[in-house]
Amino acid sequence: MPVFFAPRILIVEDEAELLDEVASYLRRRGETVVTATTCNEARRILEDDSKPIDVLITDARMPDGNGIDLIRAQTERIGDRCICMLMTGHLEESQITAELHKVRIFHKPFAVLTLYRELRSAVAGTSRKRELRLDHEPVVSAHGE
Amino acid sequence: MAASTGLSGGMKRVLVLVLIFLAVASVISSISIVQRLAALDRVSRYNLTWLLSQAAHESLRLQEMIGAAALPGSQIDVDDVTLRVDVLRNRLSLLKGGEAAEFIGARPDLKATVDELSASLTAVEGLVDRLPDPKIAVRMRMLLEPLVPRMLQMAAAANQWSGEKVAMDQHDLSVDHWALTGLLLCAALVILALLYGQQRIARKLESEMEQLNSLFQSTGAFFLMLDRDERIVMVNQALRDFRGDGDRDMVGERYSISEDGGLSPETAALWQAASGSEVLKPAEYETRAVDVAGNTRIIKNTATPIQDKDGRLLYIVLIGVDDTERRQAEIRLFDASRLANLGEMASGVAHEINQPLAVIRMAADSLHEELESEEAHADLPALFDFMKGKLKRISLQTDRASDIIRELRTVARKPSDEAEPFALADAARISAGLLSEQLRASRVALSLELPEGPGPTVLGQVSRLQQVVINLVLNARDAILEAAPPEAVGILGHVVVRVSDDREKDIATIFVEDNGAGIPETVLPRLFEPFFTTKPTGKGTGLGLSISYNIVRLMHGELSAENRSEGGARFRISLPLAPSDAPDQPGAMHSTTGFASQDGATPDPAGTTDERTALAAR
Repeated sequence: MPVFFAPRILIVEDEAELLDEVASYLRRRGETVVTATTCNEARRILEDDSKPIDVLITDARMPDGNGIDLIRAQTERIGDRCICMLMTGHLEESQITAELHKVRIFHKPFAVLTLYRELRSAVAGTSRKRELRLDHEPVVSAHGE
Repeated sequence: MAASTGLSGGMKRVLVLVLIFLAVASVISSISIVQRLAALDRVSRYNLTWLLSQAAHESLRLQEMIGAAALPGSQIDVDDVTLRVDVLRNRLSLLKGGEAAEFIGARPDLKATVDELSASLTAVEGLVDRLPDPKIAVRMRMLLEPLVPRMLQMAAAANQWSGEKVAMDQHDLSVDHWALTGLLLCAALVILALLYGQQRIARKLESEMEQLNSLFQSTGAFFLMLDRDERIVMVNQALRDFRGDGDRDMVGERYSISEDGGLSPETAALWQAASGSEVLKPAEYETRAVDVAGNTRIIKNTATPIQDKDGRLLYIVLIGVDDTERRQAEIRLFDASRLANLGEMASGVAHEINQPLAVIRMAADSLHEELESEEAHADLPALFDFMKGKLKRISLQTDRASDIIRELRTVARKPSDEAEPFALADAARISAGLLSEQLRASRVALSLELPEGPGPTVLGQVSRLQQVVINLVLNARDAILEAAPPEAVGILGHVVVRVSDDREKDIATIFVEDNGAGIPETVLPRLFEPFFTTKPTGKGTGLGLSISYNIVRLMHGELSAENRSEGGARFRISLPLAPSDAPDQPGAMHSTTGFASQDGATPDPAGTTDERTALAAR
C-alpha cells in the first residue's frame, strides 16, 4: 500500500463566501484545511515550520498584498515540496512570470471539482516522490505483505 | 465715433466772440452815425462862416448908416442905430461859444482880433448916446471901419477851417464805414467756414453711422437695445429673422427682458433703481428660444446696462448668440468621455462580477455533488440544511451581481437634459464602488467618508456627476502610480473620497484626495484647460479635467484643485444644495437610493450600510 499523507492545505482568499465554499468543499471530502483572509495572516501560517503547509491555494489580489508574492516566497523557501495553486478573476499577461509555470491557475468562476481533482493528482505525484525518498532511509512503512 | 453732432467747444467760443464783436461794432457805428448827424446839424445851424459874414454885413450896414449921419442935413434914426449896434454885439457874443470858440481858441491872432472888435464896439456903444452929432458919427465910422475887412478875413479863415473839419469827419466816417464792412465780411467768412466744417463733420458722422448700421444689421448675433421703460430702441435684422418678424419694425414695442427666462427680476429691479456712482455690471445668462421653424435653440445672452452721467439706467443692450451647436458638441463630448471612462472601468467591473459568479458556481456544483452522493441521502435533515444554505448563498450572490450591474448602469445611462435632485453621497459611493476593483489591481487603497444618513441632495444629472468622480479617482490613482518607485511593495497609495455638506452656506462638497506626488505649481493654474496634459504624448487626451470642470459648472457648481499640506492633491467639487422644497423625483431617487438600504445581516461588500472603509476592506 502506498504511503499517502494527508496534506495540510492553506486557502488564502479575502472573500468570505468564496473562502467558505472552497474550504467546506474540501473539508467535506476529508481534507485538512487552514484558512487565511489576508496576506499577512497567510505568511504567518506559511512560516510556521512546526505545521508545514503542503498545498497553498491563494487568491491573486488581496487588500494587503498579492497571492503571487506568497507563492514566490513559498517556492523560494521550500521549492517543489509545496504545491501552489492560484485562483484569479483576471490575470494580465505581464503577471505570468517564469516562477508561475509550475503553478496551476484557476480562472474564476471555476468548478471546484476541477480544483479538487488537480489537488489530488498533484498530491499523488508528491506522494510518490516522498515514497521514493523513503527508500533511502530506514523504513517504517506499511507495505502490505 | 470721431465727431460729435454739435459744435466743438473751441468753435463755439469763436462764434460767440464774433457775435459779441458784431454787436459792439454795430453799437459803435450807430453812436458814430448819431454823432455825425448831430455834427451836421450843428454845422448847418451854427455855420461859423455864415456867422462871421453876417456880422461883417451888419457892420457894413451900420457903417453906412453912420456915414449917412455924418452928412449935413441927414436924418438919423437913433433907435435904428442902437438896434444895429445891439445886433452886432449879439453876433460878436456868438463868437464866444460853440464852434466859434473852438476855432478862435486855436488861433491867438483871431482872438486878438475879436477882442479888438469887441473893444471897438464897446467904444461905439458908448458914443451912440451923443448922436446925431456929426463929429461923433465920424468917430464912430472910424472905429467901425477896420471891423468889416477883419470880419471878412475871419470869415474866410473860418470857411477854410470848417471845410477842413468836415473833410476830416468825412474821412473818419468813411474809415469807420470800411472797417465795419471789412469786419462784417470777415465775420461772414468765419461763419461760412464754421458751417462748412459742420457739414463735413455731419457727413463723416453719417458715413460712420452707415458703417455701424451695416455691421449691426449684418451680424449673425442678435442685437437688441431697450430704454429704461423696456421699449425697443434698436433691433437688428438677425433677431427679426429669428422671430419671423422680418418686416415688422418692432421699434417702440415693449420687450420684457426678465420674461424671456433670462435676466432675473432681482437684477432688473436693481438696474432700474441704480443711481449715483454705482457701476452696474453686465449679466450673462442662457435662454431657450423657439425659432420661426419651430426648433428650440439655446441662446447665450449678455445684458449690458448703460448708465447716464447721473448713474441712472439709460439703456439696456442685449446681445445673444446661438449656442446650440456648441452645446450639442459639448454634450457629445461629455458622452464620449463617459463611454471612455466606462471602457476603462469595464475590466474592473468584470472582475467584480466574477466574484459572485465564482461563489454561485461553487455553491451550485457543491450542491449538485452532494445530491448525487449516496452518503448524503442517509441524513436527509442535514442534506436539506445543506441545500438551503447553498441555495440562499446563490440567491444572495445573484443579488450582489445584479447590484453591481445596476450601479454600472447608472453611470452608463445617458443623462437627461433636465436637472433632477439626487443624493450626493450615493452617487459618490457608487462611483467609488465601481472603481474599487481596478484600484485594488493597481495596489491603490480606496476609502469613502460619507455623512450619516441620506446626506445632502443636489440638483443635476447623476451619471454626469459620477463621471466626474470617476475621472478624479482615476486621475488620483494615476498620480499615485507615477509617484511610486518601481521596486515598491504592498500598497502604493491611498485615495479618499469624502462627502460633506455645509448647510449654512447651502453647499455640498465632494473631496477626492490622494497621497501621490501632488500638482506642480506651474501646472495648477492650467489644470482645467482643455487639451492641457502632463501625461506623455499618446497617453490621455487632456480633456478629462476640462470636461469635468464644465460638467460641474453646468450644474452651477465649482471644481477646484489644491495641494495637500501632507503631500498629494485634493480636488473639490462644490455644488449648491437642492432647494429643500423641491419634490423628489421618484425615478431618480429610487435608482440611487436602492443601494443605501442593504440587508445588514449578510456581509455584502458592495455597498454596506457601514460606509467607512467598506471598499478598502475587500
